[in-house]
Amino acid sequence: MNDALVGSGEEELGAQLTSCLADNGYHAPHVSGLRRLTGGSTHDTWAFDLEYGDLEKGTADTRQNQPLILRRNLAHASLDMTPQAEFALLRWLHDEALPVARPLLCEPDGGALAMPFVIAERIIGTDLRKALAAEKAGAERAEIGGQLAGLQARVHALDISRCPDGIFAKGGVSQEVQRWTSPLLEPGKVASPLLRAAISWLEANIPALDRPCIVHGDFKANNILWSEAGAPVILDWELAHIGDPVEDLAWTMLWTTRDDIVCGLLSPQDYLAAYERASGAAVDRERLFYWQLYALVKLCGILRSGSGTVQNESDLGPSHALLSRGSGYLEAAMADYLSAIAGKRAA
Amino acid sequence: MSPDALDMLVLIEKFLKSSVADQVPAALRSEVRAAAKSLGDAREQLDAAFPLLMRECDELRDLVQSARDALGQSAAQVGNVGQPQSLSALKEQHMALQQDLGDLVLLLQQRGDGAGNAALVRIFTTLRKQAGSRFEWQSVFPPDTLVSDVLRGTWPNGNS
Repeated sequence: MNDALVGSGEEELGAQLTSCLADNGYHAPHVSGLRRLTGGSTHDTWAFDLEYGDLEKGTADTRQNQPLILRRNLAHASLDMTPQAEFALLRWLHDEALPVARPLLCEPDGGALAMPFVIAERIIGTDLRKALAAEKAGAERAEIGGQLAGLQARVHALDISRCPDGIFAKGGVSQEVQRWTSPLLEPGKVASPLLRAAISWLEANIPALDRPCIVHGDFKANNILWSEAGAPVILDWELAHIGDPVEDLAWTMLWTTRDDIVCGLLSPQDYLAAYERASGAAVDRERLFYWQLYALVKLCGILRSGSGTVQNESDLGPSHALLSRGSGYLEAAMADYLSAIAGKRAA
Repeated sequence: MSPDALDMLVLIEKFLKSSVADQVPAALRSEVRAAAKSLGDAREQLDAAFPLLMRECDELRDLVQSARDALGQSAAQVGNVGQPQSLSALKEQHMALQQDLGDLVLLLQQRGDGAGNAALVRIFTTLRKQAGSRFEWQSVFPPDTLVSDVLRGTWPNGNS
């Protein structure tokens, strides 16, 4: 019987986990403290503690304890990469000494859990956004901001030729832009003039990919775990792909409250300067402008599709429908970019 | 007096919050709360919808006309100018005007001459204002700060 389980759903999951861990070489596993951390329609995340080892001879020093995370893919159709790709990516990143949670187990078909999942080590800490909101970040904000810009530069500096095959879909910037813009213009969907104009301009001005790199794709404060040791750990790699490093910066710059990296830790200009210092490369402002507008359109696509779970907005569940209302805000911001483009051409 | 449609929204919102949310599995609880919040918001937004969409339709008609002028297209009736008799009819009219305007915006972007770009600036400015009138109806982003305003200082020279 598992300890600290609340409700039959957790009990059932605990039993399934125990069985699955036993099947995968963990001797006499004992799961305890199972609790849901986050959940949605595409995936959920659970924390638990695993004790395993020689139960029969069992003394405290022969059994091991490990805090772990279970992440399940609930939706077959979503924007996330497959569990096996995520597993392979995390393993490679861990081997490359990037601060990520070490993955331990992956079941692309679900096995005993009946849905695809990844189990990884659990690093004790708080997501940075929550830590900042509670003023618990410890070190000075600017110092943390500089550290994160440096970490992002380290991700972009990874040698992609060493990246295992099969993690990322083949394709360039053009395919990545199409991936997010095409669904917004499908027949039967009424796209606003702003969205249509933004997509049209983006498609006509796709920048050349000069320096392909690993793009995290969602590098923002609530995807950074601030460990108890006071170090950042990068989470949530499901949107990672090969692309333009400036795309990654533009996405980070989309989030600008006092609890975000940009505006919370560093001003937009200081964030760029910190990245430039860390990477040794200047950030091309024309390219950044392009990717900033792209980020608005991409987020619009994510919000309107319930993170890729539905084809039509009319099929959105209540919480995704509430989120999709933010797309009007994004369109207003698109209007500023489009006005700047047209104003420059009119001058 | 019996509850009307708007009252019903409030009644159902209260029912979902007080009687349903705590009785459903954890995975569904946030969905029930989101549904309740949406109903509460809907009452306020339905109250404002008719005058808002009427005003926006007038503005969209003007923009369509100015876009046609900039493209040198001959004068034509812009959308259905009849008074819509229901919110659904008004919404349809609003969507049809947006569709027309979107088509013209793409033509103006392709043409790219001075007059066309000046028309585009006017169109985008009006559409930004229209989108801005709904900021309070979403809770995803801070309604008082637009990200483009925050990032304007990072734009290349000549774009800001």
